[in-house]
Amino acid sequence: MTATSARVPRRDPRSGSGPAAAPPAARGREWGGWAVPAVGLLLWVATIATMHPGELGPWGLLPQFPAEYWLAVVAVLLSATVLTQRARLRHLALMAHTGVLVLLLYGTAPAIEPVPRGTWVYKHIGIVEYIERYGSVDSRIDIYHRWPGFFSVAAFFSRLADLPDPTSYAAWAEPFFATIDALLVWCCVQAVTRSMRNAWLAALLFTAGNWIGQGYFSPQAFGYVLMLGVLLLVLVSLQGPSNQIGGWVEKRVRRIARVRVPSRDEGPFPETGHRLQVAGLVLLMDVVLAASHQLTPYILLLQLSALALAGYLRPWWLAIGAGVMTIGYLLPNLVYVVNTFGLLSAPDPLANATQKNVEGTPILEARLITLIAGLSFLSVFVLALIGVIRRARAGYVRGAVVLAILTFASPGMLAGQSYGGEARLRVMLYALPWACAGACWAISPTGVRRAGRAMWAPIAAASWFAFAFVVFYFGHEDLSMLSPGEIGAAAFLSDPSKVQPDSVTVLMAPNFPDRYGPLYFRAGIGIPALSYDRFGVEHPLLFPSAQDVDFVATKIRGSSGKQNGYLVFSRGSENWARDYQLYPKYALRAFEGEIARSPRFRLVYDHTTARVYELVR
Amino acid sequence: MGPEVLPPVTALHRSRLGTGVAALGILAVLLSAAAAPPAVRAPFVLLTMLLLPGFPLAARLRVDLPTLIAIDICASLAIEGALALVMVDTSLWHPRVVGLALASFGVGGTFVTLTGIRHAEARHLQ
Repeated sequence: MTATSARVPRRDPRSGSGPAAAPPAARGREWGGWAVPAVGLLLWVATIATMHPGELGPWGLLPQFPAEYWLAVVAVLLSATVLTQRARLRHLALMAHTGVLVLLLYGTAPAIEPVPRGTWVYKHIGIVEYIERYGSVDSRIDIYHRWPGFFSVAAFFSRLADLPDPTSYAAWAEPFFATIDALLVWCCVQAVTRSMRNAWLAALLFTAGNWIGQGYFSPQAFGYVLMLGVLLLVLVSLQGPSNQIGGWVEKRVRRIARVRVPSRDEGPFPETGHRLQVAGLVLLMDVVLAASHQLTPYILLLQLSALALAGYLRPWWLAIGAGVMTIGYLLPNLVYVVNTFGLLSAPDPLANATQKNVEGTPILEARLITLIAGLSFLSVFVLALIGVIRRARAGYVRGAVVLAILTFASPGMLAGQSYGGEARLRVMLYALPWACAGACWAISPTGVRRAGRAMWAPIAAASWFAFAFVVFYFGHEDLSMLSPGEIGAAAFLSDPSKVQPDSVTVLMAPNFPDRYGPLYFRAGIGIPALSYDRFGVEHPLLFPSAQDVDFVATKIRGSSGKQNGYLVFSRGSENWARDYQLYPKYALRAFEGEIARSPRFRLVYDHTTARVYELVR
Repeated sequence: MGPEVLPPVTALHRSRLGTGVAALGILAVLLSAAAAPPAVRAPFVLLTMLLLPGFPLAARLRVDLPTLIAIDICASLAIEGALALVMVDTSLWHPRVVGLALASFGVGGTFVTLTGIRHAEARHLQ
């Protein structure tokens, strides 16, 4: 089959039906392809019109969703999966399905919540506002000012669109990046598997399975797009035949996977022309990426280096160019990084993979959610491995090796980084597009569609991915959702006219946007939340008393005994303390009562979801 | 089973797409000049920022339509990222001027690229 004929509708060898003589049942199916996303969209609108989440329990948004939401997710997912296995792919209908699925999974939270979710977003908003106000960055402030790529672009957009406060659009960053990522995954998987069917299924699996939640208004979401863009250019324009090393690897793979059929190629290497210009574009993307995120360019460098080493990347010097860009950007910032964070966390992959970034004993609900996420993590890599092996056993050894490199390069970061306890999440994030392609090969190594009873495999994979997504993504919404009251408290604490720059801000537990606004860095110096400062060990707050109030006051006053400070109670922190069992039940409420009664503290900000007390005596 | 990939975009389709992208850019500039409300202006500015600056580069490649759009988006973001970084690093923060210049180069570059593609195709047909 030629590439051109791929667009021409052909007769289905199984059903014997063709588009030219579509019977009434087939016409019904054609309409069904559009009816499901249309109904899904209506059900989504009905969901967001009726949902007004307030207090969330330990299952987050999961018990809050109405039946029509679940119906929409299941119907769109199943319909899309079935469409990917039809004899004739209907691209527009599949696009509509994917779009509605993005809305259902990534657009629901921004549509029903009054302010952007996630505490980190507010610091990013603050940096964008800083650039808008001062037109530059100050590398003395923090690490974000040293990697300002994303913030500069966001400030650029804010000014051109006349939206000076990014809070007005930041919430929609998740569906925005999810849509672009789905498009990029589609293109990358088509390039690597040479199959549109696999591209659609992989894009669907990726959209349904990316529960990591890194697509918010952040440098990594921006960097992720650029990284996929670079790899797409490499796959469609800069591929080459394996060299001696690649040939040796392919031979080893043939032996290990016990390949008994002759080697087959996926087809001739795509030739888009303008190879040098494409290489220049790759380097441009890489330099912007290097200036935007601290981790992503290194994962990309690992992937490009491995591809170049095996000869699959031509010109090979592109990997060196990417290395020069990445390392060259780090060098002027090296001293800062080493002194502030340390360049490498530990040379122990197991420790880096298992390090946690939160303390406390999670409650049963949180543990179950984490367990499901862990199983999802494992299943993604197991499916990818099975797919690579099955593809190699079908004779397509080169393609299998390329995909294995792209999938299994990201775990390489575990050799030296725990990334603040998030390493395993990042490993999955960077591997997911390629692992989804591997999952397609695991389901069908030669790209033959699954029909009838054999449909169980893609349906099971998509359902499992989506199940893990909704459980993890929405199950933690009690920790992600913020309220206008909390943002108001954050704005109060970040306002130098109200808060003295040398004062400290003390949280009862993490999960409060304590950095907000263009002058976020002048806000009170945050000291570790009391719950993480062994407060619970010496003063368990079982029966809060004036002694506990004195303890906090002493903590705020510091070693000098003169420090000013503020104590913050917020809904997000309370939910965090509950989910990680940082204090006994109701202890926070009782302790706040003691603070409110104490003459040492004065209430300076009051809202249903956040209160700020100032230490006055 | 042979390869099942989309064919490259034809010159005609690239031409139509490029004209649409250029029109989008001009519309975004006009809306900005007219100080249109942000709710009206923002979607056009966003789409223009995603598609216009990278189009002259992406349109040169013989790729299928989704890949062309994906590369266009990434190239546009990279170009804007590089310009924004230069503005921020040099403290020469003039986003409106740079935005206008970028739109002008984008529209001009798009038409130059499309003309080049049409000439190349005409030569090929001869």
